[in-house]
Amino acid sequence: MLWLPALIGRAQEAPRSYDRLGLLVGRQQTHLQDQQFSSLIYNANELSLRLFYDGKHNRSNWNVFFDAATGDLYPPQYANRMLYNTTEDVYGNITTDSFFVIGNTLTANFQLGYAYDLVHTATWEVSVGADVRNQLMYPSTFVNLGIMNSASLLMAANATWYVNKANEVKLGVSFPVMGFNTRFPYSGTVSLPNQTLLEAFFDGGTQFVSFGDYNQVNASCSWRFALSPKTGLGLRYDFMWQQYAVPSTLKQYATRIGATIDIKL
Amino acid sequence: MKYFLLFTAIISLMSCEEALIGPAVPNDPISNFEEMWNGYDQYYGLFQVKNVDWNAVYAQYRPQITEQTTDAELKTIFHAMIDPLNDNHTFIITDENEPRIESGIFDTLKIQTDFSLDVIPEYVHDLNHFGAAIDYGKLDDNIGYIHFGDFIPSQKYFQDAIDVILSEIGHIHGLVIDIRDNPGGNDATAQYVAGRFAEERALYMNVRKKSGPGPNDFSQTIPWFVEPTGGTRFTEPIVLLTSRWTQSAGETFTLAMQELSNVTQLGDYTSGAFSDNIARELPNGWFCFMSIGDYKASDGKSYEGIGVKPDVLLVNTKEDILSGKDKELEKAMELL
Repeated sequence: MLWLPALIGRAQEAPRSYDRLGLLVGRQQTHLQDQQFSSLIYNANELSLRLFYDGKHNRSNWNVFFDAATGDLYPPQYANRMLYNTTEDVYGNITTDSFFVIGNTLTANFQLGYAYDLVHTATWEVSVGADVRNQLMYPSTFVNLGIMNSASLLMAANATWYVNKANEVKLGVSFPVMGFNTRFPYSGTVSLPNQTLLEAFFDGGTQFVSFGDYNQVNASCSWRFALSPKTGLGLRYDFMWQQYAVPSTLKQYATRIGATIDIKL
Repeated sequence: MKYFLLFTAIISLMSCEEALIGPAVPNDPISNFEEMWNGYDQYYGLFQVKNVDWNAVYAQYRPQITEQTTDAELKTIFHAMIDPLNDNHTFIITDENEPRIESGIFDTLKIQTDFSLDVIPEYVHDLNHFGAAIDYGKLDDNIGYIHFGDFIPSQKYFQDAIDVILSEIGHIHGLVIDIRDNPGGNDATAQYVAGRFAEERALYMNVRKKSGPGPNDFSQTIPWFVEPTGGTRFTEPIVLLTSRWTQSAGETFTLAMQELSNVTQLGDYTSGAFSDNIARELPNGWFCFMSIGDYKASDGKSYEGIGVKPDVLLVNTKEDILSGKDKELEKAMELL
């Protein structure tokens, strides 16, 4: 870190200003273990979409995105597991129903972030800032695993290298420092008088968490190529790992590779 | 571009499952036994009510498990372990096309022979349906009939349904509510529905649920009240028909209706499985279901494994049903 003040001191101001609106389409691999409901590790291969806005005005950086991912979710060793239900009625009619035990994921994130450039040169920028984000994980499985909502405040740092006029490479990392996390309570069920299940879920399972209780690391690496002064194409890699021990340990990591397109507003 | 690919490759190599999530629990008989026993030990909420010493169960059956234990032997042992719990919400599902491993009355009671919705049109000449969960119509002598098949749909569905039904049925002097094949649903929905027939507020159950792995780790007790709900209500005499197949939220509904002075319960005892339950998954892919709560009626007693006793005990025989006769419904009409 000793180099940072020197670099800041030497830095020549590089006025840079843009507002970009973009779309990412990618594939995401998720690995999830929720010991509240299962000892098995579930995997998902998901389609992921992100709508994003990146704004830069001199040293100020704004980002807003909404992304969602969905795909099949199951333990890989039980990809073809079937369950059966055979019943007989009073008239002697026997019925056997069967179905594959395959769940699916629905993950959605909404984030608003701001970062300020500590380093701001013609070729390099290093910024730090904060994001507020709501992350919803709503997998649908036979055992209700992995359902969680997290409204959190994250610290973020980014480094951008402007390789030349057309290429830029960006690295980012963020982690939550506090938030309100909602999961099923220990009993794994929600039913409260005069409340819907959704109301009971948030009423009965939300608690304040801080760094240490709720551990998550988000890292990203992206490359953008300017097709024209107004448009860009790119690639982006995202990595997320999280661990939350309330009420029982949930561990998850996800990697995503996607292609981006953006336009300058 | 090459830097991006290099970074991606490094991160991908780092992203190995074992390092980031931990090792998976092995799928062998001993691990499956331990996972099964621990799951019930930490989440089952009725050991005290059922007077079952789960540690003694471990001591008895753990020595019988070896690496050579077959799936069939494991099923037999699991059955012997959960059988004393006598709990219809506690069972195990395997991925074989075979009956689930039961611990309650459904271990022997495989077919409902005391009720069939097919017989109802013999008495309700124009049986209507509201969605998938409700059938209704009019019996002779100006008596209404509503069959609640389950309490799974939303409260809004029941709100709309009861508004429509009470309006369509028109003036009646009595009502039969039939939940003889109701497997349950959402307790809060059942609470709302009971309120549509209530004139007073009354405590009907107290609920606490597991809040930690220890045997005494329970949430605070939450009282449940039945009280008037909705716009239009029916508060004239009601006969509530129940059976051993009335389960879960169907039973908490019965507890609520029992508190109302205008309601008479007729039929058989309910199933005796009040608590919410969850499923936990074993390394071999089997699902262990278990009750996680301790539900007590307003008298402070638990009726888990017992069921709610009807005011009038009367049970159709299989022969009654096969001949198109419903003695319970006939008795209900007589009482109204």
